[in-house]
Amino acid sequence: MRRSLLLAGSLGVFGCSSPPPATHHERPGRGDELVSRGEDIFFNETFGGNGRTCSTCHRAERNFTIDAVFAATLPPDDPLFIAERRPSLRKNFEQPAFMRGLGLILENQDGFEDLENNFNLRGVPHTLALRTSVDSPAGPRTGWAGDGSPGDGSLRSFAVGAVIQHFPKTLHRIAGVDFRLPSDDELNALEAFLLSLGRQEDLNLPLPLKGAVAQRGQEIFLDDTLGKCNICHLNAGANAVLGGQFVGNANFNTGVEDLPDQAADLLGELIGHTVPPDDGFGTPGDGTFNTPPLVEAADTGPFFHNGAIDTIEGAVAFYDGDTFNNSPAGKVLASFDPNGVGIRLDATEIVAVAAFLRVINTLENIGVTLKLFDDLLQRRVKHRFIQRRLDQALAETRDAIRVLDGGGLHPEAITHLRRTETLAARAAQSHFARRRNMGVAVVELKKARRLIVQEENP
Amino acid sequence: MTRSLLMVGVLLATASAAHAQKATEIYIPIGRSPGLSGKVTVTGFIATVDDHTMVMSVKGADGGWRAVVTDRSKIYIDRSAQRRPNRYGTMDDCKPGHFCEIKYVSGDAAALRRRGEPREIEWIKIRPDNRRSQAEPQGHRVARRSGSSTASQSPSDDSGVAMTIRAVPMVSARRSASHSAMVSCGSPITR
Repeated sequence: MRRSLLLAGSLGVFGCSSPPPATHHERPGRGDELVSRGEDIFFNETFGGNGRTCSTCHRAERNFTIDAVFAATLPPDDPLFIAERRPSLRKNFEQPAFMRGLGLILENQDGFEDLENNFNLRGVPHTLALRTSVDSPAGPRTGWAGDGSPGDGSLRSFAVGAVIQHFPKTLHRIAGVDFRLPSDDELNALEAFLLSLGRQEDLNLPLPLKGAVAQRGQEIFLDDTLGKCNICHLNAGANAVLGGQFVGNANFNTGVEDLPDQAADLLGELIGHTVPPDDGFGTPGDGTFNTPPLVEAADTGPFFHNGAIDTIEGAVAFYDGDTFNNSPAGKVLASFDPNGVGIRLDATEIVAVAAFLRVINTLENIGVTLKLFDDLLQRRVKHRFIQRRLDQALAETRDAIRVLDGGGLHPEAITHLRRTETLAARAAQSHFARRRNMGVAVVELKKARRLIVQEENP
Repeated sequence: MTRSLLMVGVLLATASAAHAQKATEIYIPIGRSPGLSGKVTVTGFIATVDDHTMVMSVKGADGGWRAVVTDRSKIYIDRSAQRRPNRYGTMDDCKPGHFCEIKYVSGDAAALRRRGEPREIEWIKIRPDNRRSQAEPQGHRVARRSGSSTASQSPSDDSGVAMTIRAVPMVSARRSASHSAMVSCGSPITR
């Protein structure tokens, strides 16, 4: 649950009983040639720049994002840390202390004229479920503020801005010298690959969950008079239904920038660096940021555009706090509440909503892993991608364990997931009995899933 | 019902309209703006510049357009062909004969058909020396109008030092005809 819980009202007025179709695109399969080409570009293409690729920051083994914990495992010569090694990028290209300490990346969303003072430090948004989370009636919304893409602002164009911002050899940023711009074919392939990642459609809540706490969390989430989450995160996705009208992905000012004691500010004070405020969408910004999907939230923290909060419980609790309730979005929400309340949740309710988010994230982890194993077992994966798929299956399984364990949820399911982890690790490390290991892992994954949710066709 | 409609209005008003990121546009050479170049922009050569009305005309092979430069309009100097950093420019940088790309504020393809009508531009990119950028993809050539290939221009660099650059032909004489046929200047760039 991010910055966008806005809007009040009763279920009768704002209910979302008939969720609109979330996807309207042709769905390329993972085996599609264009997707494969996009995958090669995403992981290998440096565009003649400083050595970074898209996957330098969007790590497959980290849900296509990156955080400080993961960054700490990387060798010093990883391209992520290019600013520490290349003299031409040492100043004003990144803020290494914030990158290493908090996983924050430097962005010049408001222009490149005053690099010393005019920049934002933002987390790396994951690239999962983009097919469900970018579209809005007013046009595509990419990046943290919805305006991350140059040109026509589309997902297809995103790589052009990313190459200019993150790939140059020098801060002159001369096309053809410091980098080359992606070709039309490359943009098409990258877009196809990005759209193939993660969920291809939104959930249809409520789910028949088995855990009592997660079940209660789902009720609160869907209650437009209590949690009010589903108003802007329809079906735990990234789209809003306002006044019964589907409006797709939307931007809101929820006041995250006004949170006290933010880690970046505290670190800045410690090392004598001022972190400029991030004004969000537009130039000058209007203080709004766009709505991310929640299904993938629990294993892709830290949360919010600036990584202000580390835990999913903290992210949910944000909406119960003064900062949100005094924000423009919070005030609008409160103004339409019969009791003038924005969002008010007790600690147990916060934990319950977080438990729900943890559980649906785990179900997504399990679903993705099953798909990966199925593709591998059915030999639908190109040879050059096999190891990556195996590694990803292992990473997804570990995420599922971490997410459930972190909330003290479904211990029996965790037992099955740990067995899956062992089998997935064996499959990833050795050809020996790989297919057998994957086959047994599938059985364990299904057992874990049955402990979490009632399946329609067990 | 009224309450519901009011809420929708308030919420939609607070939710920002979709928007593209503008900051990196300065670094994108003429003809390479993704999703815009070749669709909703016009390329051609500056024919006239009126400093008083801030209107310039852009002439191409199949017509002319008129561009109104306002305080909101950005002027980018594309020097990537010279392997030098692009920079912001002023009306003083807009001179007849310069190769350019313009994007109108109302950047829809239909608006491009309204030639001759002066309309506000969001940005104009100027390539003072008319050279082909190395950043252009292979197979993409910006055709030169006859007579402009030897024109000397005097752009000033970041330090303000005036310099004279003699434009070199982008394509050999033998090949120029086929490239000109492939890409027509003065119309939305075709790829």
